[in-house]
Amino acid sequence: MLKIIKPGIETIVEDWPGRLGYLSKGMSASGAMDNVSLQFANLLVGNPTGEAGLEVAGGYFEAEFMENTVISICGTDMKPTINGNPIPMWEAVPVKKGDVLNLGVFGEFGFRSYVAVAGGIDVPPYLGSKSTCIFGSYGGFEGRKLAPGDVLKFGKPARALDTLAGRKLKKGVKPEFARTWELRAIPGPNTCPDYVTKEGMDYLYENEHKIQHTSNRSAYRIEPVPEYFFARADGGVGGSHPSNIVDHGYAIRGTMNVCGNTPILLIADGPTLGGYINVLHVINADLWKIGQGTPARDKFTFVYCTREQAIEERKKQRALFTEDNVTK
Amino acid sequence: MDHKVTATMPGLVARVVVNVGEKVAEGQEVAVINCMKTEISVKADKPGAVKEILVKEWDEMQVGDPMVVLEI
Amino acid sequence: MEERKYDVILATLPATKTRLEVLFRQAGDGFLQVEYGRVQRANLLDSFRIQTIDAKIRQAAPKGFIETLPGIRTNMIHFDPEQLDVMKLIDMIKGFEEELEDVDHIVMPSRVIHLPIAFEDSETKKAVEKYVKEVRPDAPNVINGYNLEYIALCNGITVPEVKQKLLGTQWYNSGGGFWPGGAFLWPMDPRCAIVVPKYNPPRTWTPEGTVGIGGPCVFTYTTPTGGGYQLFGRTIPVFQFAQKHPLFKDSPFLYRNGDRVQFHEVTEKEVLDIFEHVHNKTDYVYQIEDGEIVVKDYIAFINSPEVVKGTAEFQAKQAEGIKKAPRL
Repeated sequence: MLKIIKPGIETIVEDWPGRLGYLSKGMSASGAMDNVSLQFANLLVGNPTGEAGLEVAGGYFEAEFMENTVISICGTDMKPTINGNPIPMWEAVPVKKGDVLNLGVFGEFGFRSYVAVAGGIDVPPYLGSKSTCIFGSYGGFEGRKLAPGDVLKFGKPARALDTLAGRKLKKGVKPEFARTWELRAIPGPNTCPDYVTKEGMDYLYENEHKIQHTSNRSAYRIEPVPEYFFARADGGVGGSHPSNIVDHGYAIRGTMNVCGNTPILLIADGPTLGGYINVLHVINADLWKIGQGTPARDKFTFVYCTREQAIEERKKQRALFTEDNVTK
Repeated sequence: MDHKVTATMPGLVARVVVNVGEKVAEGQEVAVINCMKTEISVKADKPGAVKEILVKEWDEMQVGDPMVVLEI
Repeated sequence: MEERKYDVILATLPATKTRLEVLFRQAGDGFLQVEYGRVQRANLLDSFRIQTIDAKIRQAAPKGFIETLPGIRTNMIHFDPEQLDVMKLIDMIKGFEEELEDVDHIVMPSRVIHLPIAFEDSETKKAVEKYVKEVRPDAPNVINGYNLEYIALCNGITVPEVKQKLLGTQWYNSGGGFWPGGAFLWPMDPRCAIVVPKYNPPRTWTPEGTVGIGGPCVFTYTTPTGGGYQLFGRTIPVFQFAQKHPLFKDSPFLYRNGDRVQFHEVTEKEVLDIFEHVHNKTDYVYQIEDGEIVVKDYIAFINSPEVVKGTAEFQAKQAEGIKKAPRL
């Protein structure tokens, strides 16, 4: 068990790939914002890579272990310590009953850090997933972010704890963190010439876009698009603004929705259907970078990508989460 | 001696909740930052008296940016 | 290559006498959008067709298929592209399209759900007040503290006529989405087809039970959330996470695709009483009738001289109204 002392700004239970199959019931998948870090963290402690862990956004987190176990921390570097002594990230670390884990620092590169525990976080699955949807208040731990005094249970470890300690990623496997995140993106479904001008699409692909402070687990917003973005005067019966469309399903997670003049990446907890155009889609293999984008600080660039390349990147990424990439 | 209370999160200043001259205790809220549509409290890390307020509503903050100067 | 960079239409099926052109649009590496026609329209005949094809897709569920997310004139297919090639998926859907007879042979199951509504109640008024205070003080869609007059203005009619149009038709569910348990509801009677622009930017809060309209769609908010629809008032719960009430025991969702909703005006007190009897006493009896939509009969209804005349008259008023209404 783990007792939360300081939950920080937003600490929640998330798994991967989240709650699939309920888009038409209005439930997006939720799931870890940076699934790559969560999957590595799980791999290191011998869990199935999609097992539930803790997603810590922004730091200032502290918790006490109430039993011996093995943990690993992957994601942004919040200078993790146990009882005040620094511990390595991207590595399986044994902890004892009474040890206090602290993630005290706001990450210099990246925004979210993941804590995996041998056996995973034991919360009841809701509609097939342990992920929290904080905006809908369901899933995870009581459908909410963690609060001081909360006690989380662990599942049964897949392997003996003493075989896990010291497992780490091989050199060169760890993902690169940055302040400007390159997101590979496929155009569509609403592009030119009918919805957006070619210059408008070029604008998205050729500029840096600062992440707005309001960005959260539903939506990452960037700066408004220029006047010349839209190729039409209005949305017809979909509404009077050129970003309006007759309501359609959103390809969530990863689609870029343009709402009024604001481009919004719809991610984990976002709305699944609505009346705004969708102009591009961040490839599945790069979703994790959105989750590491720090609101009010970092920037996104969009790199043109084809479906074929995106499928190759999926395969390559999936191949990362194997024992071949673990060493002791 | 001057002591600066700094931003703990990037975001926009929602409001400053103390006035110049006011005495504050350690751990007392001095300002609020808006990030992820959540209000995040910035607290005094030392007791003192507010000497100067360096920010106003809607200013963009980065981690470590000074917000309020305390005389300690 | 450069010229075709933003082309997103992967395949098409030509229009026939009874079917619009079908467009298969790229929507990321794991999504495909199937669109009917190139013109924004809200025609229930499109939805009857989409629902019928959708049932076939879900039944076939080829390896790698995850889910569908139907809208009124589009369907979004979610799949794993490592297991299911998008071109094979398109071929399968093309096959179903070719097999389907004329839309007027369709008879589809459709329940009628009776829902009470209190217009301009105090709780949804608070949501409008909050929007003006915190998001857009000069919002032109807020007149006398609410949205009903703006809805009337946009449609060239009076507020009592707006209410009469909401109450005067059954509202057809073309599919859920946007938010847990939500449904997009369209007027069966084209003489009641109100159209309004959505909020720009959206609201940050809307109470449970709110009834709103955006573009041509009515939506009943299932839990407190943000949103962009212009508000009518408040209905009763149509969703229950806790699954305490017997109706929600098997599933937290009330609506099914193809349902029809009939609103009935009541007082705010009656709505609040029903909330109590759904969520706490769990003894409210929902009024739901089984039924079906016989598409042939429906086509005869919308083509009857009375309906055609009434629709044309209303559309003329709307054309005048939208000229006078401020853009959002």
